[in-house]
Amino acid sequence: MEFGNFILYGLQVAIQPLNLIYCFIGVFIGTLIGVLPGIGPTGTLSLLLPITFHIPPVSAIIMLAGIYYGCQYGGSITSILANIPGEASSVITTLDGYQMARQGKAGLALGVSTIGSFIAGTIAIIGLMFLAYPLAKAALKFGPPEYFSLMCVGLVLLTFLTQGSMLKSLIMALLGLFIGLVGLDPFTAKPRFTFGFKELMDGVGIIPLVMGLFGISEVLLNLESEGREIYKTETRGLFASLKGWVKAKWAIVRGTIVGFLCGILPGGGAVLASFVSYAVEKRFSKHPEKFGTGVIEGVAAPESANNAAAQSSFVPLLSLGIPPNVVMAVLYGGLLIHGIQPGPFLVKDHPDVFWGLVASMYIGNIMLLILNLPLIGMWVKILKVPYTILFPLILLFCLIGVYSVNYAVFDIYLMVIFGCAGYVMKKLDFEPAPLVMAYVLSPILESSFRRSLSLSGGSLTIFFVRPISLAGMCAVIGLIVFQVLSARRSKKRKVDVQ
Amino acid sequence: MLDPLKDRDAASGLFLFLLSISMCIMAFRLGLGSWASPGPGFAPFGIACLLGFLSIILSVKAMVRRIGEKERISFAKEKGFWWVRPVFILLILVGYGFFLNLFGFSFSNFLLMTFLVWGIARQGLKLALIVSILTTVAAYLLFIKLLGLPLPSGSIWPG
Repeated sequence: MEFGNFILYGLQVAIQPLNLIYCFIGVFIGTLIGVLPGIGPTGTLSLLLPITFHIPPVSAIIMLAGIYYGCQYGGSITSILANIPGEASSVITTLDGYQMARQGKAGLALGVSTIGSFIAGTIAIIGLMFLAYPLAKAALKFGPPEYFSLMCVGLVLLTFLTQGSMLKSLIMALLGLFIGLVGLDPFTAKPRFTFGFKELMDGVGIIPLVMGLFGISEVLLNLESEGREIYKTETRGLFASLKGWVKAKWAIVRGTIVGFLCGILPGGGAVLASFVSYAVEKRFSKHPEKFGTGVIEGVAAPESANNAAAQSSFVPLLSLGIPPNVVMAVLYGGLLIHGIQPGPFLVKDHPDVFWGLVASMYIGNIMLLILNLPLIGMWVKILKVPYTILFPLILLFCLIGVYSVNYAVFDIYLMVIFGCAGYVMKKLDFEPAPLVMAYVLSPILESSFRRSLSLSGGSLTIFFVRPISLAGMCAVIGLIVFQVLSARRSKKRKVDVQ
Repeated sequence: MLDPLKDRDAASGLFLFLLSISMCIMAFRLGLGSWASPGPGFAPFGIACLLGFLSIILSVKAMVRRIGEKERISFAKEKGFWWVRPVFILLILVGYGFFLNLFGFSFSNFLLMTFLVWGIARQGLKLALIVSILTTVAAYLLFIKLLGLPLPSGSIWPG
């Protein structure tokens, strides 16, 4: 009964006219960003964070969340029609989606992708609702050692799952941890690594950091690549093939389950979900060899999975206060700026935010369905906006966004420094995502660590004597050992082949 | 055949190692405290040590790799003056910050957009001016009129 009341309360919050408007703006921008290659949800969220300071916190969070899950819908359009993934989570959709478009089945691919996304998204919200609340209640019993070990698991998992070298990801995470410690020490109020700049007393701002690493550096990289071409195909006939829909049915179900689990996983998210679900679908298929030639399951599974993951990523953020991926890390920063601390107390202290956000997701998914199915033609036209016009606008938004946080030119310089660093990092195959996530977790990680040591009188065994903390530390050690062993094994295999 | 300096990983590993040493020194100066009562430099010191250790591994791994393999410096793959545009963009952004309080929000936006569309994106001057005027007006209406942000009006203009 209590649960039903909460849902009704959430709906009451979500259907407020202002919240409905911001939900629509969020999903609309999300779809737009998903359609446009070159700017992702992380960059967009950081770009729009400063604007949200002037609107109520609940509306702001509803809009920002809408951008994230809206992105997953839009990303598939470019993957199917232009063979260009609008989002990293839609990369795998290009394999079969574009092939289907070339065979004249673009309508079916787009229809299955949108409906599959809607079903997966809706199921994932139900899962989020039922899981986040009890998890938040359980998390109230967590102490500093539990938080420390859980955050370590998140960081190591993220570095483990990031594409490329785990060593480089770990290095990035350490740099992020260090950057997160800039500013006044929370225990002694002593300035740390501020180099005499009073602007750094409060630490390095999340907005200059993320805008630089994701906004500016992406623009610099995109300017190196060539223009894009859209495959001219028929986008009608979204419900034409019943056979196709029957084939896609179980792929949507499996994609939803895989996506939901990947979203909750610390370090996971929509990108991981789409790749894992594609692999799972291939394994379940009676004709795995046909994957990549334009099979509907190859579109349905990853598109359902990335939507389910986008929704379930909110579970650890809202209930434990631990962002499972970089987009959630930015959202975490956004919540903090609005004076809302994500975590076990969120449901109790800000029920309007928690239940309003959950309920708004249902509404947002319906809005996305309406936005995506009849308006596919419009989104395709937007793809034709040349990047030469788009990138100056992105840069202008970055500049205004970063300046308007503190009205300080210093933040612009900071963003440029991080933009330059992000560009060089990407050139050298260093992923910035672990850096941002570690930066966000750093202050909590440090205070949990120091508090744990104070509690135990300086003994590290505190992390190994409490069950949850022990499980977390075992997972961390296990993951690192597994990675080292598998690297050795693959090296040995290479030598054997040679 | 070994040529570690030409390898990007070895070079970045070396840079990170030097960075970690400076981080260690700065953290040490802050005060490490004790295990039972860690000081402000305790966590940064640990992070810097770990970073130093991992950067050594990165460098060593890169050095034992033979040159000519796919890990060769990626910048070398770029043709000609590929770096000109990124450098110019970064300079323009710094210039925007430098002149923002002097020229004011709207005029700085106009200059920024003109430089980017005309100079960097290599579009015609006419198009660049149209885009610049439109975005300047739109930004003024959105950020100053609608959102009411107190953005600088410039110190060189009267009033």
